[in-house]
Amino acid sequence: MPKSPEPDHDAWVRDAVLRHEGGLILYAARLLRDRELARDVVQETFLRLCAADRAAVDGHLAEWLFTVCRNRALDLLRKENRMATLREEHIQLCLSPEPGPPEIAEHDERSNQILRLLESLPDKEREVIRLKFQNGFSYQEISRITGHSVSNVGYLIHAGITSLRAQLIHGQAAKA
Amino acid sequence: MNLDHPTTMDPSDPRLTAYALGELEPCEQAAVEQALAQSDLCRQTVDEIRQTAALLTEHMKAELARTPAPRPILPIETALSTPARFFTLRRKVLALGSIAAVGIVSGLLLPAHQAARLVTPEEMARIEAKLAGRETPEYYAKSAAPNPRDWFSQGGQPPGAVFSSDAFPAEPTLAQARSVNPEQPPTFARSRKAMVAKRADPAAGQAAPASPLSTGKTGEQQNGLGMMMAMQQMKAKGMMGGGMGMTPARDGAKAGEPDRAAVTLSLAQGLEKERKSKDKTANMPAPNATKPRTANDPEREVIGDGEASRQLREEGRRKRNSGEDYQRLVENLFQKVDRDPRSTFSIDVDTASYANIRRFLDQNQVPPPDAVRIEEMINYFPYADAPPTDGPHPFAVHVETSGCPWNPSHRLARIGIAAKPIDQSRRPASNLVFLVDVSGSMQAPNKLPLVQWSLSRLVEQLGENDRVAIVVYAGASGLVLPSTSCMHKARILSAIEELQSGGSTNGAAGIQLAYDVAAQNFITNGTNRVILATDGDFNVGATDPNDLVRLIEAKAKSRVFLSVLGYGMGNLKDATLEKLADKGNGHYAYIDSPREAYKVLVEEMGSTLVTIAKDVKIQMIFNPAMVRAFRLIGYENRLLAHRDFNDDTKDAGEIGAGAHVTALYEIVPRGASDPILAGNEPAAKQDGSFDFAAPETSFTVRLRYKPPKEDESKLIERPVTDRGGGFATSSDDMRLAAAVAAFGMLLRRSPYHGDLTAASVLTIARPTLDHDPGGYRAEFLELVRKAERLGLGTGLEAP
Repeated sequence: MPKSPEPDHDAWVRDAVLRHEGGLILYAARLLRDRELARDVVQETFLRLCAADRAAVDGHLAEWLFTVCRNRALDLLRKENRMATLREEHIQLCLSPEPGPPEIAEHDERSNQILRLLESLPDKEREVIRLKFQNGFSYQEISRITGHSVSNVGYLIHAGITSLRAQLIHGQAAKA
Repeated sequence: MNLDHPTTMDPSDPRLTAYALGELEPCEQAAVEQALAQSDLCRQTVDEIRQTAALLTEHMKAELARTPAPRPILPIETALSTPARFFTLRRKVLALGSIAAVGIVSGLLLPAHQAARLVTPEEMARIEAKLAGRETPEYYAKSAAPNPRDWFSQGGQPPGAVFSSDAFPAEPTLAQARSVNPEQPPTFARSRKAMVAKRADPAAGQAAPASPLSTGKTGEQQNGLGMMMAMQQMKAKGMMGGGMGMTPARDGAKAGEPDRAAVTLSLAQGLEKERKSKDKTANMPAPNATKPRTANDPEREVIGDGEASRQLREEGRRKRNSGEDYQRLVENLFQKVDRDPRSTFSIDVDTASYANIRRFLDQNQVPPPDAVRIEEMINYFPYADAPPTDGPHPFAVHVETSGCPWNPSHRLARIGIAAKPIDQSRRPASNLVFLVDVSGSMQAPNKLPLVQWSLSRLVEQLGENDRVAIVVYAGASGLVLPSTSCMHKARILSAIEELQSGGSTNGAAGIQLAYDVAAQNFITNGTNRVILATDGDFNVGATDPNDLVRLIEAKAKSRVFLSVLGYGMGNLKDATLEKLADKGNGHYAYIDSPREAYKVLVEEMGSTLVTIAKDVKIQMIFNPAMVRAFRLIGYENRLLAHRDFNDDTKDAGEIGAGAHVTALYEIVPRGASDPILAGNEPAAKQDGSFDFAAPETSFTVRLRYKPPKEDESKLIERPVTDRGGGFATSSDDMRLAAAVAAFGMLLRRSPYHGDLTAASVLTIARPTLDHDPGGYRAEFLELVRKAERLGLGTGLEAP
């Protein structure tokens, strides 16, 4: 139920936007493989936050946002039947971050390697790994956001880390 | 078989990762610490995991920091300042609809996801208490203080909503939920639904059901038992039928759909290469329902449309159960011994008919007579007959005679076959292939989610010597999981959890693939079995049930056995499933609830997995001097020609370890006056006289069976004299079997039921309640009472 403008509520929403928008856009962009669509989805997510009952969301704001964002993104994907396709330009879009402040060359290279390796993981593993290491969610929270059981989340993260570990530390080729 | 052996943990164990990341469950702490103390390799692994984690965190946070400052989001600013105008009805509906859909789905599907994990000792204790009859669903509803906070904190989540909200009757459950939880402090989970409840907008339609599951329990309880309770509560309100009855409608709509599911399914073939391949399409799990709805009804996306689904529900209710299919059965007549002294049949260990009857009665419907197979009802229960302690045969044959409670001048004879149980630790290695129907019709919560729950419970019981593969069929068939050792349970459980439904059914291709996989991983001297889970609705490809049956018959020769698990209602193809199990050297069980799944796949796992005798046939030879006529109760579709008894090429039923099979005869002794048998009798045709050991022998029981790997049968022969004991003094087992048979006869509207009424069935059965392992007898009495309330056996119902 939309509230009449309350300064506290507004401030709360704005604060949420500041803190989480970046992470959400990145997350949605991974799911949708389209930055513009990701912005739209994130926008809708925050609109829902405006309408939400603050007392209900407080305490798990990040989790709530990611869950709503994910569901919206999946709905979009389903509607547009995009789940199976990955266009080449989108790979590039995802892999190369938009130009930012200059960094040490070696650090960049390692980053690129990691991001590339991530892209080679199966979708489900990649998603939970991002939620864990980029967004800092716990197994329980990831389970609630994605709908996998906690033990399945554990298994997916384990499988992803096992692959990544082999490549990052031992330089081995990607294995099943 | 979960041997706790002291050998070190495998470095590929997922628990090491959980430990390294600080996410290990407390109950696993000791095991991991011990492994680390013992194994350098494990310690190194944990170090590497931590290194990898650190690298990932560092670089991914950096990526996050590099994300450019977002442009100001105008609509949000607008929303904050002028909310009333901004939120049009349409947006509200869409927003609420999707949240509601997610809420409903999470409410009902949560346990399916939740439960696919190891059963903790506390949960096991609860299950055992429940099965011992000390707890009932009502107990759960009353005793659990509603605390949705606990429910949520234990992982209540909205799953990536795949299922349409219109599969479930939302309105009744909302009312129910309101009465259960009138006031809740706003917590996240509760408020998401409460939010919707408060704003329940007729146009939105789908108000969240805040299902009985969210009458919160602590985390340990929030498992499949929650689902049990929810399903039982739903059944009690007769809601399942209404909701599930939609499937015929939905399937009808699906008929013309281009088979997109086929495309996604063929991707399953590539699943094995998923990690190696950079092709994203191959990374999709096999039956990924990217298009769970038909092309004809785009309304039924996850953002549900209340009106359309309400109409469909109504339609479904009218069409309920119209798609079910039962083989016509004609009850056995009394056979005059002078004409033919022999009775020959194949034993039957199926229990599906009883569970199916229970399903009907739970929905306040009288089951159709053809769904009633009395031998399956009798065989559903545990009996006290002792298995053999020694001796050459893998089972003990118990025979008992008594008076007949529904006809004072008749006698009853009960033959009980008790198979030797097998110690779980000595169970032979198993090679199992789960063949799962993931067609669109399997989407209801009492189908695929229950299948997933069932199979997960079974996998949890398996050990390192067992292997599991998963094959699905719908449109196309796919190998979802190659044969995997149960050392990697997490992988298997994960694959089970990922199963999704969509598409139409092509059973033949699936059966072919499943048997091929079983053959490829065949274990000599082990159990090799295909476990088929389906609602039986094969409607693509070889749709003629006879073709399927022939296919199974051919496959059965490969020494791979078959178990058939039937699920669902509305289009349960009981006749087909029974035939498949019969021809496939297996058994057929109907799973109507998590409790039944637990019974069949965990409690009775021994008999489900381990066959101790195959092609088991019984032949009774009655002595014309002592018996005038007899009637075999049940087994109508198991009868054999007399010459087939000695013919080892003729197929018959299998008995599993620890199983018990009963055959019941109603006997008319010589000297009894009986109007049924009055009249001129044609000249007796005797083919082969039988020499009874003693003139007062009433009948001889002959039994043939083959050891599972042999092709030559062995014979057991036992002459029996009826000593004239009365019914009231007969054994507990006899009185139970008689009570169940009597109920079956009532349900079949048998012409032989004499004076039987529902009340007399209760009278016969009540004394047997003193010994009620598992609480099944008490449940049986409940079913009889339900049938009575529906008018059965009271003389008041319509013929």
